[in-house]
Amino acid sequence: MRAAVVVGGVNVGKSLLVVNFAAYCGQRGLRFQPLDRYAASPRPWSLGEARRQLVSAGPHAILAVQGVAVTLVGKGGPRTVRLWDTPGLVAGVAGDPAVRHAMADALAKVAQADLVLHVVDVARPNCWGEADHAVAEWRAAATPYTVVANQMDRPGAREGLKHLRRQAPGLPVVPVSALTQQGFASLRRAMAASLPVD
Amino acid sequence: MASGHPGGATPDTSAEVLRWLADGHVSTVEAVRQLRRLERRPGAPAPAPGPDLPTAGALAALDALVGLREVKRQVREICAFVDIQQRRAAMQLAAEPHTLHMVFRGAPGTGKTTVARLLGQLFRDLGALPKGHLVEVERADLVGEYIGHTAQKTREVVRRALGGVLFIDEAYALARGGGKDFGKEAIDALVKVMEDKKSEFLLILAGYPREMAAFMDANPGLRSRFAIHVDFPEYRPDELAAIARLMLAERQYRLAPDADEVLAKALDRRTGVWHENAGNARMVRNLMERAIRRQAVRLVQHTGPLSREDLMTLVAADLDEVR
Ligand SMILES: Nc1nc2c(ncn2[C@@H]2O[C@H](COP(=O)(O)OP(=O)(O)O)[C@@H](O)[C@H]2O)c(=O)[nH]1
Ligand SMILES: Nc1ncnc2c1ncn2[C@@H]1O[C@H](COP(=O)(O)OP(=O)(O)O)[C@@H](O)[C@H]1O
Ligand SMILES: [Mg+2]
Ligand SMILES: [Mg+2]
Repeated sequence: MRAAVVVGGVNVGKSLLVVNFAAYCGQRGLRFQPLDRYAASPRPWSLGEARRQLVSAGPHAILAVQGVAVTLVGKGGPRTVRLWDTPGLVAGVAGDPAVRHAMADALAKVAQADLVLHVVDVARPNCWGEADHAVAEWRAAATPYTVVANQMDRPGAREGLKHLRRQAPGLPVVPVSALTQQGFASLRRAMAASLPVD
Repeated sequence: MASGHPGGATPDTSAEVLRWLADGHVSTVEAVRQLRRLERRPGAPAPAPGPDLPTAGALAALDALVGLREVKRQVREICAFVDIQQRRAAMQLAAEPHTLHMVFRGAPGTGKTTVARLLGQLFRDLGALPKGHLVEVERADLVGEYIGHTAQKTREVVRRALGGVLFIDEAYALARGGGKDFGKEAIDALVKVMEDKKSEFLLILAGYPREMAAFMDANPGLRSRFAIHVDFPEYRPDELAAIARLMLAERQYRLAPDADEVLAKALDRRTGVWHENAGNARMVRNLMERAIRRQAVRLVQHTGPLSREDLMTLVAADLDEVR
């Protein structure tokens, strides 16, 4: 199955995007597949459960790389793709070995992506950091790559979006709010454009 | 030259970059830059395989090693065994508990650490080890200074290795020292954790063949727990030359014909640096890195334009230290 890998800094809203976008695509029970092919996948989560498990405002709620399959309806027919949630990238050397291993897992997954969704929190000042720059420089020319400008519902997001467009010239940017689901139709279109019909 | 590792070396493969990242040798940003550099090389290997071909990456890396035919065969056999035991367990069939701790016998620079690292990845991909990372230690990391200290240090090292591979280099040195030495305490502590944490990590004891044989004989408690012995022969001169060319090609360098000849001759000679370190791939790596630095010194002194060719080529003069 094609892999759309969701990558970005800590707490930019990657997990909420994965859960709510899966819901938007009509998914109700979310069965996340772990990275390791022998590990048992957990029972499907309801949307509420998935949000409780994965979404948090604190540091690295969850270090696992895991994916949930969704079907995008779009021009020409449906496209099935697995959305992979990854732990947020920290630019430096993490002190905790578990976090460092998680960074390595995340980058390994990005290297295999058929499609990268690079999430940025545009309501934050200086939303395009060193790690964002490096990752885009690495993958944007090699794979279909979309920058998802998240948290558009929050104050300051419009200026942040302008800042992002200046910092990342040439990259396609789709503004969304993972919370209100505004912009999800554009995101689905952008994704469908780079995925083959089932 | 791009930096990023304490030794000043650059990683040769994406797998190596990710390992350095996990081990804390490079920052996330530096790791991403290195991944980009490696992919931009012409002829760079395809990105790591997806979950459908879990071990292809590490197996390909194993195959890419020069020589080591028997080692490669043994590793494949071990992996087949582990894979089938995992599948049997998954279908509720009785599975052999994997007490797959190993002894790697060979001189320094014969590829023991390299193969141990790949084994960790293979076991991880097979689902036999959750992390598959390598923790490489030696006597000083295990043996303490007062009673109780050793057991504590050993437990700490094992804790770091849980889920992966604990690689003890020159393990026979644990038995050094005699009476008031704490090496014995480390051995006892290891035997104990091997019982307590049976399949939670893979223990590999490495060292010179003769010393390791004597060491295992003197410690029956250990011997009975190591069924797998892997021998790493010293590399032949032609294998070392192939390793040198491989290491250079990975860094986008190559030897001019005169340099290649110097290298081949030096490797065959029965005296000098090469002879004293016959069979040692690490020495080859160090000397090639030195040759790369000498080339740089030679080229900056050069007036006039430098071609891509010039920048890639090591000539005989760059190998002066080798002769
Ligand atoms: N207002 C608002 N909050 C969001 C949005 N996306 C995520 N959040 C919140 O930001 C925090 C981090 O979200 P999470 O999905 O865990 O981020 P991750 O670390 O990138 O996976 C949580 O408290 C979310 O509820 C958004 O679009 N708008
Ligand atoms: N068969 C081989 N092919 C290519 N490179 C090798 C091979 N064996 C060893 N090397 C390289 O030689 C160096 C030393 O190897 P290492 O595994 O550290 O040896 P040991 O642990 O036995 O001392 C490493 O840089 C490794 O990449
Ligand atoms: Mg998250
Ligand atoms: Mg070694």
